[in-house]
Amino acid sequence: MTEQDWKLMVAADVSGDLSPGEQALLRTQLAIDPHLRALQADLLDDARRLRQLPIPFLPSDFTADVLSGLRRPPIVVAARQTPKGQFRRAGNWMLGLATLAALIVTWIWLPTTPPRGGVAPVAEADFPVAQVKPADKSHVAAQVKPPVDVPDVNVPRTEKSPTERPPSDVFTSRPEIRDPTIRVERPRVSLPLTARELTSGGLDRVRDELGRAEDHRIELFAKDPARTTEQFVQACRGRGMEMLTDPITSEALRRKLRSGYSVYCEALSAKETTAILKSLLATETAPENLVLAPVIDADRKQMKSWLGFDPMDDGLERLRSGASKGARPPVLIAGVYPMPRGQVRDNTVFQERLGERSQGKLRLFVIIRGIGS
Amino acid sequence: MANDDQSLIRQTLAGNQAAFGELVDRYQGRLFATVYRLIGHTEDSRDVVQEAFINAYEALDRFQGDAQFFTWLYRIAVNAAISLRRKRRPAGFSGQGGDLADRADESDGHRPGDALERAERVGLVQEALLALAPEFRTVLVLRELEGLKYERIAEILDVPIGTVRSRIHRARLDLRDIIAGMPAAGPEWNHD
Repeated sequence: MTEQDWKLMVAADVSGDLSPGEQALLRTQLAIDPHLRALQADLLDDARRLRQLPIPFLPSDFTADVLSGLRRPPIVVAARQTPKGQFRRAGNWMLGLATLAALIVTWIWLPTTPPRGGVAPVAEADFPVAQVKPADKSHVAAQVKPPVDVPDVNVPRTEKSPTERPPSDVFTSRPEIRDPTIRVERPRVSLPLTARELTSGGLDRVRDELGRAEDHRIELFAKDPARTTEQFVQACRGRGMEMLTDPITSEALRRKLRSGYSVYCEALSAKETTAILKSLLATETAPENLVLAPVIDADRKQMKSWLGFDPMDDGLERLRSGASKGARPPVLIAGVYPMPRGQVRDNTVFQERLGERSQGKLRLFVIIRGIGS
Repeated sequence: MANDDQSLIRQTLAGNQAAFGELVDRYQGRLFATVYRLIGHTEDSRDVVQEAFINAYEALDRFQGDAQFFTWLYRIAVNAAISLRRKRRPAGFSGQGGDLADRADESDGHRPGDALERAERVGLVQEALLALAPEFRTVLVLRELEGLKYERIAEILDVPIGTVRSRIHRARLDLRDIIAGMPAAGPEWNHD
């Protein structure tokens, strides 16, 4: 057997595909071949890591999206007993004749088109037909006006009947609520924007959205994610922040690997974040898409697996009390996204350096992904 | 479960769209997870899964009851995912394919002793998965992440069971080669 055959046998063993005889043969070889043993350990570990990959989540409105995208119902009509032979041919003839007759009758009975600016001629009919001039709107008022005077009674009436209300989109229009104790808030939803939209007023929407809450997830899609990450970090450095990073990230950035990168930062205001995004858009490797979204539980779990703790947990405040006062919180960078579980073993580095969060600063979980070829 | 699917399919064919909504609710999570593993892009995966459901709905009257609905749905989604992945050049390591071995050689951490530590990088496993050839990636995802049996995978991909088996073995070895070519992990963090 060749080396490749043995390797395939190890892979088959990991898959549980070997017969008892083949297993015995492999055990003998493993006992004398340390490289094969190492390969077996690696393959088993790879399989375990594969099974541990975090499960991505779909938004809760996915079903509604699918249903709204359905183009036609697949209704199946029960099979009809179709006539055969001459009966079917006779049926086709009768159908054709009936259609022709219907067309002729329609043509005869249809009133002719009124001449321009004139009055439609009244067809000979045994029922009254209203004559309406094209520019005359009085007939509308006449229809609305009641035929007899109705005594005015003190019955509260709505200002507009439901049929008079203009059609509105329930997602974009706010309901009118007259109770001053009630305030209607727009729901926080994902805000996906292209580069073109961002440069043509989209950043204002981003800033507004950033100003509405403290925690945000920003996803940037760039052709060169390593470069975009470096630019983001550089912009943060320009604002006096420190950077913590891990060896994987350093190496990935150094090699400009086109994997995803993630950054946690809580030292930027909405205005500063918008300014940084604007500066990124001005570069040659500007991100092509941005998705701004509220942070969900899955994001916080990701951060916890990455940092060893959830930086958005308010209960962490006491841990930060020992942090050096006055220092700006650092920018934290993880390597490829999603973050490898167990990558960080000593998370005290983060907790000690995180520091106090200033008033008005956002908690940002930024993910920079690669797109295209 | 299968009977429930059949019942929901019948209701859908009778014009009850909500019944199809239940089918979507039932399978969207698993389908999305699988497609995401095959594509590695959230938005694209979402689009593929959505399109798969829509295609399934439109072809529901042609669905043969002898196969499981889930298998049939998987076949639609997996084929769409693979063709999308072929159309677009993959991001990440897969885009650079051939030079992985070179990168492994120049990596400081490429030592046999680092193997277990490197394997801890779950994120890199995801990247490596995307770098696999589509036919290998698909069988590995369906087997390891979905836990499907060979018979079911063969049914979904419409290939013999023996082919599924051999592809899985090859996929494991290729995945290992790719991971070995990635930069090494370290426990310490740098700061500047």
